[in-house]
Amino acid sequence: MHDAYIFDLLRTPRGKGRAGGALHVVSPVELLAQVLRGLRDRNNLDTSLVEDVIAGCGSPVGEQGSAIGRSACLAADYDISVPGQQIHRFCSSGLEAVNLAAAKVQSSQCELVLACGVESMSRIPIGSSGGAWSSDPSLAYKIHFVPQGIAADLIATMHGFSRQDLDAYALQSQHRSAAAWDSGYFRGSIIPVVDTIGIPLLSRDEAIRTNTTLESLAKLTPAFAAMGEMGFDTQAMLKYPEIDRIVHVHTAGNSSGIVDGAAGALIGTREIGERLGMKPRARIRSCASVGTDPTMMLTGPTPAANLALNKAGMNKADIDLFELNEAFAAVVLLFMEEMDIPHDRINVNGGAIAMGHPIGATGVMILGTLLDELERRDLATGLVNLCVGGGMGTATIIERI
Amino acid sequence: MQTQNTMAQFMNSPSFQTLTYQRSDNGVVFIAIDVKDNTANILTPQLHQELGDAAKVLAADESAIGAVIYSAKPTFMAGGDLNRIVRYFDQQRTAEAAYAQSRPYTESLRLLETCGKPVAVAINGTALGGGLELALACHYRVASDEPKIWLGLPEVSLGLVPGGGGTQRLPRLVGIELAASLILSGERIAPARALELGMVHRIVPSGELLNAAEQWVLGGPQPTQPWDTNGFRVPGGSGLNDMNIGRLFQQLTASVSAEYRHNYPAPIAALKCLFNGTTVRSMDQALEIETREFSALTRNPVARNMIRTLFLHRAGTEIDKMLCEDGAIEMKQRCQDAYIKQGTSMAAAGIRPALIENVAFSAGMPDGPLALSSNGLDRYSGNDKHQNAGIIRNRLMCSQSLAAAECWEEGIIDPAKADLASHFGWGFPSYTGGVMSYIDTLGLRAFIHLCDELTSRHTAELKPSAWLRSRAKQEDRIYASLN
Repeated sequence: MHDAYIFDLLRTPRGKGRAGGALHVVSPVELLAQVLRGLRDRNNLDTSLVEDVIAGCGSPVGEQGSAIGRSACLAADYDISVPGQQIHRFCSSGLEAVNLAAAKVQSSQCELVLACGVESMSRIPIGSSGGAWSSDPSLAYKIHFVPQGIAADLIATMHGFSRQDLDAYALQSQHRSAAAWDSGYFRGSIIPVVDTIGIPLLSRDEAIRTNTTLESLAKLTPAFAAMGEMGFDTQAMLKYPEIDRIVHVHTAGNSSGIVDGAAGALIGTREIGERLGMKPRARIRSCASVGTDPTMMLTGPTPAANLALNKAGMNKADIDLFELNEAFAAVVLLFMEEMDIPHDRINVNGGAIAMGHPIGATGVMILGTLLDELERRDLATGLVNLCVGGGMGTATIIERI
Repeated sequence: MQTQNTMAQFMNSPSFQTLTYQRSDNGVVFIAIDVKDNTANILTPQLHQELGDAAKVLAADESAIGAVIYSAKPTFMAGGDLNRIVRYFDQQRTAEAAYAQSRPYTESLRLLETCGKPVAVAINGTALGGGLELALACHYRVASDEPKIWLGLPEVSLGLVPGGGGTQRLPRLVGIELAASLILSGERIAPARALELGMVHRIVPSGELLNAAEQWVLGGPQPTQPWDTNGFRVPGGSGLNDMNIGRLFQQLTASVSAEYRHNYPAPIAALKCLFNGTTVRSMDQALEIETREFSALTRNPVARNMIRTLFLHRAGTEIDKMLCEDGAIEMKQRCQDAYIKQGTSMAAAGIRPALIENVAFSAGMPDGPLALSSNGLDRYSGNDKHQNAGIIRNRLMCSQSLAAAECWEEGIIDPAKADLASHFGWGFPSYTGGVMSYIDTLGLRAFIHLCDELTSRHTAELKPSAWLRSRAKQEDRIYASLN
C-alpha cells in the first residue's frame, strides 16, 4: 500500500450565505473553479496528471448537481482528460472527498487526486436535495427523524449543557477566529474570490462577529423551540423518554453559520510529489466514518475519532491538535467531555460558529486550518472530525512530514 | 357471436342486485345504487363488483352517451361494512388474499372513470368513506343543498385508510396538505365547503339534482379525469424534487408521531399513500400503492380493536349512562389504583419519574401514573435506576388489564363493557381496543406469561388469578373469534 500525502490545501473565504452575501453573485461551479485554478497556479501543476477531481457537496442539485467536480474542471480549464465526480455524506462530504482521494492513492489506483468541496448555501438552500431519511414518511417515522437543531438541543439536554455553557463556547469561537485572522494564521491558505474581470469580491470570512459578547449572545432566542413544538420534540422524546423535556438552548449565536465557500486539496504519492517538485506537507494516517443513532444524529465524532485512532494504532494522547466542526456548540462540548480533551487542544483558531459551515466544503477547509496550525506550532499530529446528518461521523488523522 | 348476442340482450335490461341500470331515450344512463336489505347503502362485495360491471356495460352500450350515478336511498352511501371488515384480522388471510380482497372496489371505480363516457354523480345525501370515494371517481360531482349532508373520509378513525382511491384522488383535487388534513382527521365537511375546495363542482336544490347531472352529461363533456390528462400536476406540488413538499411531509410525519405516539398504524399508512401515491404519475399504480397499505391494515389487530370497540360494541350502548353504572365505576377505581401502584412502586424503586410518565404517554395513556397519584409527581426524585422502557410500559398497561380481568371474574363487568368503560372512562388508548381487548390481542396465555415474567423478574406484583389461569387453559381468546 502507498502512503497518501497532502501537498497543498486552499480555500475561499466564506461569504454570508444569503442574498446580499459577498459570494451570492458567484455560481458554485465558479467558486470551485477558482480553487482549482489556485491550486494549479501556485503549484505549477500540469493538470493532465490529476487523475480525479472528487468534489464533496451537501446539496448536489441544480447548479451544484451532475458531477460538479467535472464541471469545475471544465470551468477551470483543466486538461480535458481530467475526470471529475461528486460525493455526498452531508456535512462530511468534503472530508470524505479527501478520504476517498487518499484511498485511491493508497490502493495505487491513482497517483494524484484533487479532493475538494463546495457549497453555495445562498443559492442552493440547505435541504434542496430532499432525502428519504427526512421526508419520506416511511423512513422518517421509522427513524424518528428530527431536524439537526432539535438533535443538538437533545444532546445538550441529555448531557446537561446549559445555554451559558454553549454561549461561553460560542464566544470563544468568535474570539479565536478573529484573532487567527488578525494574526494572519489563515493567510497562506486563503484564495480571494474574484469577479469576472478579476476584482476581489471577498478576501476575508464575512460572517465573523467581532462585537459578540456573552450579553449579546444571551439575548438571542432559541432557534429550534418553535420547530420542537411542531411535533419534533415529541418525536425525539418517544425515543428518549428518560428526559423531562427538550431544553432548547441552541441559537443562531451558538450554532454554525450559513455561508458560501469552496476548498480543495492535492493528494498523491510521495513519488509524484518528487516528480512534480511538490513538497508533501502531511501524511494521511487513517480515515474513518461511522453510523450512530439517527435521531440524536450528531454523536458520531467520538466513535469516528476512536475508530480512526484505532486504525492508525494511536491513542488520543498521540494527537497534538483536534479540529471538530462547530456545527452546534453542544457537539463540540460533548466530544470534549467524552474524549476528555481540553479546549486548548481543539478548534484552537475558532470554527464554524464564527466563520460558518459551507456544508460540502467544510471538511476540506478545517483540514487546512488544522494543518496550517500544526505547521505554525511545529506540532506533528492532528485529527479532523465532523458530525454528520443521518447519524454519522467522519474523522481523518494526519501527521506532518 | 353468442357472446355478443348475450351482451346486447343484457344491455337492453341489464340485471344487477345492488344497483339499477336504466337508459333514457336521450342516451343518458341512470345508475341508482340500492343495496338490498339495508336502510343505507353500504359497500358489499357484490356492490364492489357490480359497479365495475355497470362501467363495462356503459362502455359497451352504443346507445349510451354517459351516465348519472345516484343513490336510491335517503343517504348517498355510508361506506364500508364494518361487520365484514372487523373479521379480517381473525381470518388470518395471507397478504395475497388480503390484497386480492381489497382490489375489486378500487378497480371498479377506476373502470368507471376510464370507461370513455362522461359520468356524473348526484350526491343526494351524506357520502362517507367508500361513498365519497365513488363520487371522487366520477367526472362531475353535483351535490344537493339539503342541510345535514356530510362528506368525509373517516377510515383513519377505524384503524384503516381509504381503500377506494380516496388517498389518491383527493390530493389530486385539493393538494396534499389539505387532503392530509381531511384524511388524518376524518373531518366531515358540508357540500358548500367541498365546493370551495373543489371537491364538488356544483350545488343545487335537491329537486334539481338529477336534472343538473343529466344536463351536464348531455353537454357532451370530456370523459377524462384531470389526473389522466398529459401534463397533470398535483395542486401545490408533489414529490421530493419540491422542497416545500419535503418540508410538508417532514412536518406531517412529526405531527402524526406526536399525536399517535407510534401506536397507530393507520395515520402513517395514510401519509405513505399520500407521499408515494402522489409521487408516481400513473393513477393505476397510485391506486395499487393505496391498496397495499389498506390491505396491510386489514391484517393488523389495531383496525379490528378499534372497529370492534369504538363502533360495534359502542353501537346501542349509551356511554354516559354505562359509565355511571356501579360495575364501570368499580372497575375504573381498581384499574386506576393498579396503574398508580405500578407507577409509584417503580418510582420508589428508583426509576426516574420522568421516564415512567413519558413511557405512560408513549403507550397512549392520557395521564401518567405519578401525576394521578395522591402524592403528585414532585415527591419522587428517583436515582436514575436503569430500566427498559418496554418493561415499564408492559407493567403500566398489564396492571390495568389484570385489574379489569379480576372485575370480569367477579362478575362486576363483562369484557365488552370493560373495553368501552376503559376507553371512554379514563382514556385507555383505542389502539388496544380497551383493557380486555389488550389481553385478547396478546392472547390470554401470552398475557399471563407476561404478567408472571414481570412479577418474577421485575417485582411487578402482577399475579393472574387461578380462575384466569384455568380459563386460559381452555380458551386463549376473551372474545369469540370473528372469522
